[in-house]
Amino acid sequence: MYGDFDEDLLKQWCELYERFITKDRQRLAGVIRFCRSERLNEYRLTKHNISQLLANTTLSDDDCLSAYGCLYVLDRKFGHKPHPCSLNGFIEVSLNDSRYILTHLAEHPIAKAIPKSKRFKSNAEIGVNGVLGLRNQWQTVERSAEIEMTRSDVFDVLVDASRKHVKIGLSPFAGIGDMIWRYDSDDVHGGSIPFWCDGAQDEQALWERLSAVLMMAHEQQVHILLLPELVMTEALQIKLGDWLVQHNAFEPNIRLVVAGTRHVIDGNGRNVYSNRCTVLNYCGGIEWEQEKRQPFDLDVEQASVLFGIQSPAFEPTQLSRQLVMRHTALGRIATPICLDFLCDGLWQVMPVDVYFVPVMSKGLSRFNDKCRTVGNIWGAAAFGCNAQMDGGWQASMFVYRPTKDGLEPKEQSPFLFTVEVDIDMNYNL
Amino acid sequence: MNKLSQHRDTYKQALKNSDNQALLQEKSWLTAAAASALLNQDIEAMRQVRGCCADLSALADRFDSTGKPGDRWRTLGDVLTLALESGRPLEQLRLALPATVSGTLLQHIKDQPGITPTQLSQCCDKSASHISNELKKLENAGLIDRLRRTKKHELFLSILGKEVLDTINSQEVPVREEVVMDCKYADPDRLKRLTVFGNPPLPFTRAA
Repeated sequence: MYGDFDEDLLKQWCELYERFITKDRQRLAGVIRFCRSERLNEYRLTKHNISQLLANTTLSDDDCLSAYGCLYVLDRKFGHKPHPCSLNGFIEVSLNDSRYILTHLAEHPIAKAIPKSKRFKSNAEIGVNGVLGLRNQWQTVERSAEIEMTRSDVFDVLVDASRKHVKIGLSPFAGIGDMIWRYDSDDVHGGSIPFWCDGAQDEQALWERLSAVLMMAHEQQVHILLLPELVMTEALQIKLGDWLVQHNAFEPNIRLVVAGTRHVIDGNGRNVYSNRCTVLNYCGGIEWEQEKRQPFDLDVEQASVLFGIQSPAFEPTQLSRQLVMRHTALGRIATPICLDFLCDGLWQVMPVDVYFVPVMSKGLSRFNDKCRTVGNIWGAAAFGCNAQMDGGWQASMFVYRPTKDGLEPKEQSPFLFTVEVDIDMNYNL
Repeated sequence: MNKLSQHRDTYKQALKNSDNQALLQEKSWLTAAAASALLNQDIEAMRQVRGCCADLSALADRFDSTGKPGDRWRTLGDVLTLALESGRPLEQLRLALPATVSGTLLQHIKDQPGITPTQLSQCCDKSASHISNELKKLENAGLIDRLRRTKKHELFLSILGKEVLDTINSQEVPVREEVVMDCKYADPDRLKRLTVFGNPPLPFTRAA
């Protein structure tokens, strides 16, 4: 199915990985450490019988090294062929009732631009994983998850090797107080009532603020504009798309707008919504959409502050099974929404290089901690924009690259901050 | 029936059944096959892909609902992305040419498996940073493997490196003495380098 890698070989590869790496990586790394380099190299160059290795019930050190030789050769051979999975989705294999996807560890342009001496090493480069030195991993994922990864050409303009930075705009242009919040005290679920965002207090004023942000972002040659969670409305988003067609399409400085999120009525049920993030391209077209996957609840105190009611409340959203990612020139990009970035276990195993996170949260310390975690796992970078908060830019946004050198956003206006992030667009496999 | 035809037929079937997931998968497969043929400059494979996909455009116009008006440019971008993100066989060959520093290094690694970058630097009389850059190129092209042992790095040819070097060494190019003899204004050192390891210059490295 994938060049020389037919379905049988992929299954064997996955099985070999599961048995020798997932379940027994410590032993394998130990055997490799004590093996002479010349001998280890012979195992890599010799053709082994995978079926026979898999059939063995007790494994000698020699079997382990043969398996490693196979895994290493498959790993490297796979990386040098043009694969359809770079354009559409992941390679999937079903094995013993489990679902596996093949993920590739690659340096994205933001990580590549950080000098090696200053870059945090990812988990794949240190300890046991560092000894194994494999670039592809077989990951188990839930059967119910709908994983969508396709190629997007929005950043193809950056592939010029002379390009040295990408400019990211973060716009905390509105906050909780700018929106209308509703609740339904008659629709009680387990003692909790639903609440949702029902539009803007003054949509015209909000649009004026947003269009000023867009104009400034265009002038400042911002490539990616990120807006916060739940400060968008359907009408505002249409205006935003129209603005991009009118002012940006033929001079596309802004390549991508992560247009925050909004509550969208979902289905015909009573009080059923989706918390949806729409990402627009430079022509105002929808590039992708991501819906929230985690439930969100307010305790009595929080609900009392927000609505003046003495009851716990919950966000009545249909929890999405979809994880949407795009393979771009800037790496693999995703836009998990607020809590999903913090708590969703599936996002953690996805090979995402750059996260853009719309947020509505009191504090961002948990987000900053999480950035370090995703940075350690995949070497990912993360950018988040919070619904307008007091307390300086630190309370309104987070900017993370896997390095000691932090980046400080520059205030262009009270509603637009920009940050220039170094990139290295040279292609190395 | 070959794999290409199988995928084309699956794509046609997906068009018939409006199976968008299969459509996207098969489109990607066929694009990757085209990219692979282009990368290898394999005339026969290019012919096959071209012939196989010849009658798909009109069908796609009519039945492929996953497409958009800008798809011509997206496909172009797809092919270029695949080419940029894959191993480049011609670049691998170029790196292995005996007249280049990288080719010389490759030959040393073949002759002395487990050699370290410092030893290579001494063998070739080049600076450590020059050797390091060339090794990085060879490693990125998948021609060598680097084994890290404590602080020491040991270098070995990969399977691909071995294959590429064998291909280069097995080229039976007639010695064109008259060409070399004609180069009376050429730098003698460069001429000497071109015949390193006893191999005559390949046709495409002909001395100017």
